[in-house]
Amino acid sequence: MKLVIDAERCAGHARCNAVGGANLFPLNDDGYIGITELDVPPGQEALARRGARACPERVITILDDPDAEG
Amino acid sequence: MSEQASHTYAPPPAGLPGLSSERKIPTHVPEGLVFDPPFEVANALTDPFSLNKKTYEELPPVFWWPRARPGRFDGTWVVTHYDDIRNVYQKEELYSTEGTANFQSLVGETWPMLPIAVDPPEHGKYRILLNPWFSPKAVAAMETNIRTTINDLIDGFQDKGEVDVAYDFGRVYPVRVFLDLMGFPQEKLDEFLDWGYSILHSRYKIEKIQYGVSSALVFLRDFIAKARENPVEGLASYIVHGKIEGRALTDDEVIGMVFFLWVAGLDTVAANTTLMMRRLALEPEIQATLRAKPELIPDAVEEFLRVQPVVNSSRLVKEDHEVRGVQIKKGDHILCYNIAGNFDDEEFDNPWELRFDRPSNRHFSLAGGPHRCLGSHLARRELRIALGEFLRRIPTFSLKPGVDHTVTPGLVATPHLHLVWDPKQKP
Ligand code: HEM
Ligand code: SF4
Repeated sequence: MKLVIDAERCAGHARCNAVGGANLFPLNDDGYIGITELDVPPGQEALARRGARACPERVITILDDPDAEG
Repeated sequence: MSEQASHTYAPPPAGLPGLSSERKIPTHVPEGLVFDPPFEVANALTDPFSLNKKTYEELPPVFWWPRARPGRFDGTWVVTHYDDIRNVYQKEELYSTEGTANFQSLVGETWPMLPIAVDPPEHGKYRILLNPWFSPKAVAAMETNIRTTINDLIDGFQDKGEVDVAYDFGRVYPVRVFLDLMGFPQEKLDEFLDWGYSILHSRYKIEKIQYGVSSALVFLRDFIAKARENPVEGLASYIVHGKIEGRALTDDEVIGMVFFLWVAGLDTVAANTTLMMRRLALEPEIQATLRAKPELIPDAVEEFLRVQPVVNSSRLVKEDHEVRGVQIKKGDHILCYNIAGNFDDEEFDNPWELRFDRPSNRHFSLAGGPHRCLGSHLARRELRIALGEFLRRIPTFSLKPGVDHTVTPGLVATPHLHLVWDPKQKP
């Protein structure tokens, strides 16, 4: 599973980081998302999904979700 | 609960109160889209915002509200659905913040409030300067100081069994935190409280606003002059010596920034604190839940922020366009009605239920897009510490019998709110 982040449109809510943790969603010194993509380590898919879903700007996209419906 | 918010949403009658005769509704606004719902009407409901339930449920998602905001507009479009609100926040090329929070102009001042009243890309230059001071990491470093400030205040009333939680707690601690952050002396507390109250609670009484603004300006101009000579600790002096694109800031820019930080970060936190405590006093089962499981407090604060949207952002429209088929014209204003959007059932399950286990809580109480509340992480931390320490040190509390707990939804909340408890009881 992979996350792709449109960091240009990140507004620094830091909700991804608060909900999904600093390991998956590191912030830069300004408090905005510090990465543009992430290979989710095995076992952390649920946390990654929750962090992505917490983003009010909807700039985090999940790719290759093994558990995705449909 | 058997409380009923009763009012009707009939289109406004001719000669609507509050409208002067020359204030015309623009011709491109269809007659059927003009509504005057009773926004921000005082009420004593357990959930004071539920007065607006029907705004989302029964009114068109885009309508024209024919009420004036002095110095800004004679009437405004309102969007009530979550996705439309997000769109307004995010599309800065269509929606401008020009003129937002411009009450300094009511008293003849010309400097802009920064960074709120400028659009990207200009806006980003000021944000870059301020962001490092308000990141989650920077705010985490303020934890001890905020906790001490809050506990000092609780020391003053813990044994009394009573406090006016709006006036003597919620109103005071954010100002103390602000003074420390800025590097202003704590001896200025009473003056800052007085000036702030005059500006924000005078309901357009120009002399009082003038007094508040000009008193604060005398202090600020003097501080800036001294800090230019001798830099001191704190954010205000950092701003004085701040640079954008290699040039020094002007005095007006420094004033615009410090001033807006002050007016943005005090009453908002105070109103949320008061509303949160009021809800806990009226619903002791929620107190019991949070006392038993203090680890729920961060999610509880997030949920209180959602159900207590005290700011509804306004934007100036930059281009003609349509929203849900409605013609919006350049020069119109548009209001992000968080009071409705935070209760949109397409985004939030059972939106009128207070729940601390929402899988995602993407409310816009702290705005979104480029102007996302700069102080959002500070506000969250202040509210968490205030709630946590209050529950840790004060046993089960309730409203003092007979006190008026009428709320005006929005920034006013209640000016006073007396809580009582048995000081012999353990929390
Ligand atoms: C619960 C408390 C708070 C609430 C509900 C709140 C709400 C908001 C909202 C809705 C906006 C956007 C306004 C708009 O879009 O027109 C905003 C912007 C802002 N807030 Fe807050 N705020 C809170 C606390 C604070 C604090 C503690 C500070 C700082 C000390 C602060 C500083 C700012 C600043 C500087 C902006 C302008 C950001 C920009 O234009 O880029 N706020 N706030
Ligand atoms: S939640 Fe979204 S907007 Fe906020 S920091 Fe994370 S990616 Fe950025």
